[in-house]
Amino acid sequence: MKGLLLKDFYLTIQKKKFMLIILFVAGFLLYTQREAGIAFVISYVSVLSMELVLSTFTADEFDRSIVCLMTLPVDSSLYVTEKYLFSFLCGLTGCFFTTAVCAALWPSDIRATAVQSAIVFVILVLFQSIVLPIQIKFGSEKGRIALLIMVICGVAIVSLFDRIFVGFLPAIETVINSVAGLHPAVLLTAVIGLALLCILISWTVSRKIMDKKSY
Amino acid sequence: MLLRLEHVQKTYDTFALDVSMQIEEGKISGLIGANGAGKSTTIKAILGLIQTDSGTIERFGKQGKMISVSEKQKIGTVLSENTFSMMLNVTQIANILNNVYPHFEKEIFLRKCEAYKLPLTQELKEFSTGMKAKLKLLSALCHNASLLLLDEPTVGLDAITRNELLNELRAYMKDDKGILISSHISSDLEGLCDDLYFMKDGKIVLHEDTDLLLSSYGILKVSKEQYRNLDRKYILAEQQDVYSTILLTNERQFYLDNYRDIVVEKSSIDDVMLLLLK
Repeated sequence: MKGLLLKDFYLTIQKKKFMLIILFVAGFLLYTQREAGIAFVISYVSVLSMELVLSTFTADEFDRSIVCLMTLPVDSSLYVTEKYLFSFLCGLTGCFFTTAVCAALWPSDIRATAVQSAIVFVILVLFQSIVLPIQIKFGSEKGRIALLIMVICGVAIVSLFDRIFVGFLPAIETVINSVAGLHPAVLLTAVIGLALLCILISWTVSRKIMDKKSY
Repeated sequence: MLLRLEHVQKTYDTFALDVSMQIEEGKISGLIGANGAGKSTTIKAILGLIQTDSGTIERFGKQGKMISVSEKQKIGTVLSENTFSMMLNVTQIANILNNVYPHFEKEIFLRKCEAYKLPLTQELKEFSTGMKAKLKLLSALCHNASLLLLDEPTVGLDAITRNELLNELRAYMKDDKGILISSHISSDLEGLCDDLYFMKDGKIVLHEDTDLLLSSYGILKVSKEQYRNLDRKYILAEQQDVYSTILLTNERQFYLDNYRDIVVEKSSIDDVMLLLLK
């Protein structure tokens, strides 16, 4: 596991310019749009940290170095687990770093910033649980197209539901509002539980996809 | 027994693999075949990189379609077409391997890389084909593997470096270790291997000890008349041209003793390859 994490770390630090651009834009947004910007910037940095994870898939596929990787003492389960752990660490680093910068700049808002950061992180984990199996199944380039198609299909299905079943979206909104009204501790437990469940399902699917792969 | 394959089969649209072989401790086995004969597919099947349709693979005495992590720890691999990510350098690869293999000898690996003039901090994309080949072989040799699976390990190397690396393989060999090596370069295998598997269209067509192959096998050159009168029970393959027929035998002495008027020559591995695999 440590060897694979090291490999992805080495591949990620190759993207120094990309990371610097993310940080520069994040700093600019924080400076110019503080009011509406904190949540956005945390989301922005976290989501773009996911792009770094995806770039490790590209590197594994480049020159089919994944074949060489799979001759090492690595099985599908270890490879998949490492990718999830690396995504988790990248997302956590992105969230933590941005939150720390915001907290340092505006110490009075630290509580709100931390809550926003936690919400973004949970959403990111849910996002990872969808993106990673797609990447493992289709590869990095086809995976991006597959993800785009999934997002378009998702939006189309929701729009279709809203047209066919009048009041579908307001009903969803009511459910969300009632969930939001729950006690924070209950809500937090439910959200973390949901995120863990999604990750577990996603990990199982990814492992099965990986098991069937031939090189 | 380090490795045993029993009718391992894999069928593709235009190719079918059906291979049986075994690699014993203390032996270097060669795998010879033309491009597309199934050498790489065989090695990939052993490593679990492809899913086989049927047959049994026994690694280190354990049978199983899937290869375990502990079994992979005991295997050193060189694949002809694949290497580490081109964005990594030798030092980074050493760190990765050090954390992947429990018995990786990092210092020795780095020392050997320097000895073979491999730059430690240069990305692999800057490496020549020969440099990549050296790196792949050194990576396979430095974690105390019991079994080496080498698919065209010397491809792209000049004669001097090839000889140096073949010497590394000779030095690596001990009683409890084994090597399966595929190569197009028959001279490499002739001086290195204890036994040879000849592969054609996904199947092993001949398995023979190298010494026996070089001492007992022979080439007969016969006219059409001589061909008609020849006892062909020891003939393995033949190739006809306009004026004569060239035959491969595994009993050269039989023809030397009984057919004084025909040309009988010693055969090289190349001769066997040309006649058997054409």
